[in-house]
Amino acid sequence: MNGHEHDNPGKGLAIAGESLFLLNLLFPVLPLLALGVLYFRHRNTANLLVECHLKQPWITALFSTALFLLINLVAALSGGYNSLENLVSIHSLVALEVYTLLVILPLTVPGLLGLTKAMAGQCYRYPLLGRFL
Amino acid sequence: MKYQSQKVAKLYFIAAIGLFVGQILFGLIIGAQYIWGDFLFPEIPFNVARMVHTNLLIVWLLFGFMGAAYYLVPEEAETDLVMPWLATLMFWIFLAAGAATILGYLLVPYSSLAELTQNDLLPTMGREFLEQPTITKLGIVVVALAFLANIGLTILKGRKTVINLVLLMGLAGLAVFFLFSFFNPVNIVWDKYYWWWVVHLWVEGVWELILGSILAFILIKTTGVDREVIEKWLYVIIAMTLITGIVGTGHHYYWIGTPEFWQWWGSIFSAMEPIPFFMMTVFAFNMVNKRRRNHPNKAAVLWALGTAVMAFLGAGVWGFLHTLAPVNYYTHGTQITAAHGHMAFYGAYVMINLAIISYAMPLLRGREAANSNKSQVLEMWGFWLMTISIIFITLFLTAAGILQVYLQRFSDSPMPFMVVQEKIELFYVLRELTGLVFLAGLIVYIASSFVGSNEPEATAEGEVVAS
Ligand code: HEM
Ligand code: HEM
Ligand SMILES: [Fe+2]
Repeated sequence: MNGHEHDNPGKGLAIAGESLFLLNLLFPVLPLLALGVLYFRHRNTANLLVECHLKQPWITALFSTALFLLINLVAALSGGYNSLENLVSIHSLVALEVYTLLVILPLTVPGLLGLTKAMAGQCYRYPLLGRFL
Repeated sequence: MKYQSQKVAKLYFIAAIGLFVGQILFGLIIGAQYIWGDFLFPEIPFNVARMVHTNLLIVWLLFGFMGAAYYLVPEEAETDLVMPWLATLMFWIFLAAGAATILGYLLVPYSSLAELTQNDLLPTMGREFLEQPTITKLGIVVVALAFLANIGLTILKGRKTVINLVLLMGLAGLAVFFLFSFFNPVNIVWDKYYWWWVVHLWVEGVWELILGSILAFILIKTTGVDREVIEKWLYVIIAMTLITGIVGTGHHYYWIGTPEFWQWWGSIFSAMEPIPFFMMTVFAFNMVNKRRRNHPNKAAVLWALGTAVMAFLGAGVWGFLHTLAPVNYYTHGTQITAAHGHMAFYGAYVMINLAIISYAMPLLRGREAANSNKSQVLEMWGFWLMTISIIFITLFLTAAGILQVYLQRFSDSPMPFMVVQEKIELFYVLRELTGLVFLAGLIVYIASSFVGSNEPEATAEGEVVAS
């Protein structure tokens, strides 16, 4: 199962990729940018580990961030963020809960498994979603 | 099994599983009472059955922790228990006290039980999870002290490993915080304030140390990864637990009459409480991915990994869901809380107990390393049936909770509690049906220790070569 973990130069990148993906679930947008930088710099690297732990998190993070923005857009349109005083409104709270249940919950576990596989120097495909990437 | 005195763990494990069955049966009774309000009334009223359900849970988890300690402390310390006879004696005392208390709940009205046991002398009864008569509580303290002395002296005499020390810290903390159950101020704000020192500081503090050390022990044994690596993880996990969990107590101080600053402190620190659970998951999978050998006890590895994932989901995700003060303002004390309580207790503490039992029991019963394949397959069926059931129970209760919050607390024309309860009955029916599947899973799990005992041990296919 293991074996080549010490000699694979891509391991650090792979771990960074999955970590940024997980971080982006919690604090969307900024980690996504960092992940994008990593992805576009290394997308032509001929290293299987990098390929599987950068591309997959990158695309999935785009997807999760899009959902994050969408959920907040709906909250904003329905009057959630129209003044600074009511930033903590029922709209933002419901947005937070919906995001936690529908986005964080189904994506952290794959991210977690991806991270541990990256740490062990192995490739990993997210369940269900990974098949399309 | 390397030391004769480890054998005492077997008694504790068997009692734990027996009481677990009782817990689930009473869970099903209160689940049914949610649907048919007068089910078994007046023989077993809801409040009594609920108390039996939760108290049996706590007691069997304590039996499991003690069994785990009696099993792993000698092995880690590389010496026999100093007083194996005391461990056996305390087992019977604890079992008798536990059984008497449960019978007391079932046979006499709670207020008569309070009179009968002289609650007036030192009133401690009547608080959730801590309903035991004062005399039982004193018994628990005696058992805990004898237990701590036994394993403390054993550790002192033998090798001092990080696992043993963290476990001892957790168990000592468990005993110390239990002392607050004797502190019962008249002022209801103080009352609640200190009640959480037992309940919260147990499950989100010292019990997590117990969980971490048992998990680390199982991982060392089943993966063969270097002790140093595992210890480093354990250090960071317990540090994060204490940093977030202690001040995190504030998430119970939002609406009980304590100062308002707790809404900030509680929200911020408890929002970080998922971190140690997250790390435990990374830790467990990391060690298994880096294993140096395949252990023949696949069921134990499955339980260990399952604990890591389910504790993160139940405590981490479902805890986070309602931990911020503005959210908790709406969800406080609804079915959302019950959903979280079920998945967190099962995922963290039920599963870690079943994991160590799964690892240790075959050895205690004379196997070299593991049960037969047949028995393990059945055990893994038990794992999946129970785990999937609890996931569904959690989902149904979460759905019930969301509706409850909306209808009762948020909509423009809020409805009374009982009207809302009728509207969400469907979810209670689904919960009860899923509970029956849980019970089936538990029966399969227990059956697995009776089948295949005459068959050869499972072997580890595909030896892994160390890097
Ligand atoms: C394994 C660890 C945990 C267990 C066993 C557990 C169990 C429970 C239980 C049984 C309750 C209900 C208490 C009552 O009767 O009122 C509860 C309440 C609560 N838990 Fe946890 N919990 C755990 C971890 C966490 C974590 C990590 C968080 C936060 C991230 C959390 C947040 C909460 C909150 C906010 C409440 C109060 C709910 C309310 O206001 O009604 N829990 N927990
Ligand atoms: C057959 C499955 C089960 C059923 C039908 C069931 C049912 C129930 C019911 C109806 C309550 C009372 C809730 C209330 O007072 O409103 C309850 C409370 C509780 N149960 Fe269970 N239960 C089951 C399994 C479990 C398991 C496996 C655990 C532990 C892992 C557990 C731990 C608890 C706890 C901690 C509480 C108190 C929660 C709170 O007040 O928020 N139950 N259960
Ligand atoms: Fe708490």
